[in-house]
Amino acid sequence: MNWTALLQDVIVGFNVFVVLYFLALNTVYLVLFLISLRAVVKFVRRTFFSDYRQIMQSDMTWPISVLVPAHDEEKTIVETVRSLLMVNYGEFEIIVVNDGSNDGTLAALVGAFELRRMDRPYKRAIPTAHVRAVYGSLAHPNLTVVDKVKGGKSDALNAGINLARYPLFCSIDADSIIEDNALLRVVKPFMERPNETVAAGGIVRIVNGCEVKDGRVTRISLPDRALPIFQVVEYLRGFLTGRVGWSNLQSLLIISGAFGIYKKQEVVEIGGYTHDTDTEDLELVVRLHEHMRRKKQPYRVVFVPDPVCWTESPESLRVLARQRNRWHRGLLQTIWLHKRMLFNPRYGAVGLFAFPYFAVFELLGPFVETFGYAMVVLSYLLGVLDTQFFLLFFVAANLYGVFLSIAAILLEEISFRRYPGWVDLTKLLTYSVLENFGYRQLLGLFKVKAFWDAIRRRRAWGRMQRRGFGQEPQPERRAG
Amino acid sequence: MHRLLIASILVVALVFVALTLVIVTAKAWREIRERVRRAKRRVLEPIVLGYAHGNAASILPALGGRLATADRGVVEEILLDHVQRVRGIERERLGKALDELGYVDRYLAGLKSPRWWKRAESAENLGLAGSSRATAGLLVALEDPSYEVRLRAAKALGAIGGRAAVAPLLRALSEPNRWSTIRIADLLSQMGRPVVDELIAAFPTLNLHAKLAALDILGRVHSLDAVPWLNARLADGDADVRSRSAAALGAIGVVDSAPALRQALGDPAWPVRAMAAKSLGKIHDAEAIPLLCAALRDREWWVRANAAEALKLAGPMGIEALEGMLDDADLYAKHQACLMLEESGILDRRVAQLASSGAVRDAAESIVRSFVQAGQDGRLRELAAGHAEPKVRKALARLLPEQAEEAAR
Repeated sequence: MNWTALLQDVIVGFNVFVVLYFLALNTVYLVLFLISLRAVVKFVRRTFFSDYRQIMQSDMTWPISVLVPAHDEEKTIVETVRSLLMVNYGEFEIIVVNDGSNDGTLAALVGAFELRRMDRPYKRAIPTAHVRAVYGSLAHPNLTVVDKVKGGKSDALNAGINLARYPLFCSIDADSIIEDNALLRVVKPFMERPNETVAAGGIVRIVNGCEVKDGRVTRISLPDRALPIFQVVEYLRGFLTGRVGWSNLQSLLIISGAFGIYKKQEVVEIGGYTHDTDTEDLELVVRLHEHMRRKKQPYRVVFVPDPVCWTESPESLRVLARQRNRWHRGLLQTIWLHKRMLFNPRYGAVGLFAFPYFAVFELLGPFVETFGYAMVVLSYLLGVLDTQFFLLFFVAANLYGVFLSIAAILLEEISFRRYPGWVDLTKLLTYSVLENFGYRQLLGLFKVKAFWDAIRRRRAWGRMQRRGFGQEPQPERRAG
Repeated sequence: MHRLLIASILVVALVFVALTLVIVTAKAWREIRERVRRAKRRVLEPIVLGYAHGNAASILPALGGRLATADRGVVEEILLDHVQRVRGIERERLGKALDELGYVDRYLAGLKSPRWWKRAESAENLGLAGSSRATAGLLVALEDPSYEVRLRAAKALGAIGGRAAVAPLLRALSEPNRWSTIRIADLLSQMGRPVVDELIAAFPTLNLHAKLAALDILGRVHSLDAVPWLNARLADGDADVRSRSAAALGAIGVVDSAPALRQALGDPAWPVRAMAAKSLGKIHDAEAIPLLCAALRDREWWVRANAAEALKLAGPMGIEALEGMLDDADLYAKHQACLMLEESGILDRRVAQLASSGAVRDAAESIVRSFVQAGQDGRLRELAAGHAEPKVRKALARLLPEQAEEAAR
C-alpha cells in the first residue's frame, strides 16, 4: 500500500469536508442573522408601546427574587447590590449568597448595609452545602445575605432559590450591573404569556471602558485595550444575531448566568442547578427544555434584547483563556449529559436543530478550524496544497466572519445604539475586521485545549481578575 | 470551484462595504437631523408654550401665520410632550392646537394605516389630543385585529371620556396576557366608581382568568362599595377566586371585612388561608390575633409566614402574642415568631434589657432562653460578641450554652 497516496487522499477528503462544513455553518449564521434582523425591528416597534411605568407601579406585577452568588467579590459586591437596590421594579428581594469567600465579601456587605443575623426559617427544597448564617438589613428590608460553606456557583444559586420567596427568581453575577429598567423589561415575557414562559434572559454587555458611579453606568464607551474590544464585538454578534435568532426559533439553549430570570417552581422541580458541569447556566436551560418536553407542556425560553446587564470582561489573555476553557468544557459536559436529546424528534426543534448545531458547530467547530490550519501545513509539505484555492478560501472565510460582525453592529445601530460616539463606531467597525485575524483563531485554540482538559477531567472555575468598576488593572490572582 | 470562491468573495466584500456605508450614513443622517431638530425646538418651544399659557384664539399667528412643513415634526413633538405634562385649560389649548394644525386629521387617517404600529400610535395621540372628533374613529379601532391598537383606542376613549371603552376593556380582561391586564386595570381604575359597578355586573360572564383580574382591579380601585360583594366571594366555589378576594379585601383595608377574613383563615385551601392572614395584617384586626397565632402552626409555609407578618404588623398586642408563641409546642410556629421578633428589633431591645434589673431583666432573660431553646440563636451570638454594653455581653455569654460552657472551662 502507498501510504503517501493514502495520506494525500485523506487530506483532500478533509479539505472537501472543511469546505462543506464552512458552507453549512455560514448558512446557519446567515439564516440566524436574517431571523434576528426581522425580530429586532419588530421588537423595537413594540417597545414603543410597553408602558413600563404603569407596569412598575402596579402591585399586580409579579414579584421577583434576585439571586447574587458571590465568591471573593469584595471589590464589586457593594456596588452591585447598590445598583440592584435602585432598580425600577415594584416588589423584589435581593438575596446575596456569600459562597465561602476567603476575602472580605461578607464584611463589606455587613458594613455597607448594616446587616444583622436573622434566624430565618426556610424550606431546603434543593440540598446545598451548609448555610452558616442568614443576615437581614433593617435599612433595606428586601435585602438578605446568606453566608454558606463553599459549594460553587450552582450550590450558591440553589441556596438562594431555597430562600427565595417569590415565584420568579433572577440570577445575577456579583460583578455585574443591571440597568434601571432591566428587570421590568426581562420580566415582560412572563407577564405576556404567564403559563408558558419558564425562562428569559437579557443581553450582557461589557462594562470595561464605561464610567460607573454609585452602582450605575453613567457614561458608555468602548475600552482602550484591544482584547476587551474584541469581546465587545463578539458579544454583540453572539447576543444580537445568535440568541435573538435561536429565541425566535423557540430553541434558545443558553441564558447567560450573568442575567437570567426563571420560574422557580419549574427549576425546583428539576432539582435546581447541577454541580456536574462548569456552565450551570447552559445546563439548566437544556434541562428545562428536556423537562418541559417530557411534560408535554407548551413552554417558552425567551431572549429579550434590550434589558442590559453590564459585566467586566477579561483584560489579559491568560484570564480569557481560562474563561473560555471553562465555557467550552461546560458545553462539552452539557452535551454529553444530555446526548439523548441529539437528533431526537421527541425534543422538537431543540433536539433536531439547536442541540445538533451546538454539538456539530459550536463544540467541534474549533477543532475543524484548528485542524484545518494544521492540514494546510501538512498539505504544503506533501505537495498537495492548491495555494490559490487555499488563499481564496481563507479570504472568503474571513470576509464572511467580518460580514457577520458588521451585521451585528448594524443590528445594534438600528435598534439600541448604546455606543453613541463616532470614535466608538469606528473602533467597532475596525475591530470587527481585525478579530478575524488572530483573535478568532486564538479562541479556537483555547477551546481545543478545553476539550483536552475535559477528557482529562480537569475542572477549574477560571477565576476572573476583578478590577472593581472604574478601577485600574491590578496584579492577577491565582486561579481558584 | 475557484470561480465560485472568487464570486462569493466579491459578493461578501460588496455586502461588507454596503453594510459599512449604511451604518455610517445612517448614523451621520440621524445626528444631523437630531441637531437640526434641537435647534428648531429651542426656537419653537417658547412660542408653543406662550400660546398654551396665554389666551390667544389661535396658535397660527404666533407661528407667523402658517406652519412651515419643515417645522411640523418638531411642533408636533413639542405639543405631544407638553400635553402629557399639563392639566386643565393649558391641556385643552394644546389639544386645540393639535387639531388646528391638522395633526388630529392626520391621526384619524393613521387609524386606517395598514401598519399596526401606525394605527396604535395614532390612537395613542388622539387620546392625548383629547379631541371629541376622534370618538367615532376610536370606536371603530376598538375592533382592530391588533391588540395594541384596541388597547390604545380604549385608553384614548377613556381619556376623552367615552364610556364606550368600558365594555371592550372588560372583554379584553379575558386575554391571558398579564402585561395587558395591568394596563387595563390602570385604565379601568382611572375611570372611577361606575366602572366598578360594571365590573361586578359583568363578573359572572367572565372566564376564570378575567374574574381573577377583576378581583385584583377591585382591590386596586379601593372601592368601599365593593367590600360586601368581595366578602361574599370568600364563599365562592373556586379557591383562586376566594384567595384573590381575600387579597382584594386586604388591599382595600377596611375593618368591615375582618369577620369574613377571620373565617377564611379556616379555609381548606392554603392560598386562601395565606391571603386571609396577609389581609388581616393589613387591616390590623386585634380580634384576629388568637387565630393568627393558631395559623402560625399551619402546615403550609406561606400561611405561617403571612400570619407571623400579620402579627408583627398588629402592634404591641401582636408582638406580645409573638413572644407568647416562643414557648409553643410547634417548632415551626416558634421559628416564625423568633424571626418576626428579630426583624422588628424586639429581640435587640430585650437583649439590651439584660443590663437592667428586676422584672424587666427576668422577662428579657425568659425571652432569650426561649430563643436559645428554639435553636434560633444566630443573632444572640452576634450580640454576645459585639454588643456595646459589657453587662449584656456577659449575660448573653451565661445564657448561650456553648459560651457558658466555654466560660466555665
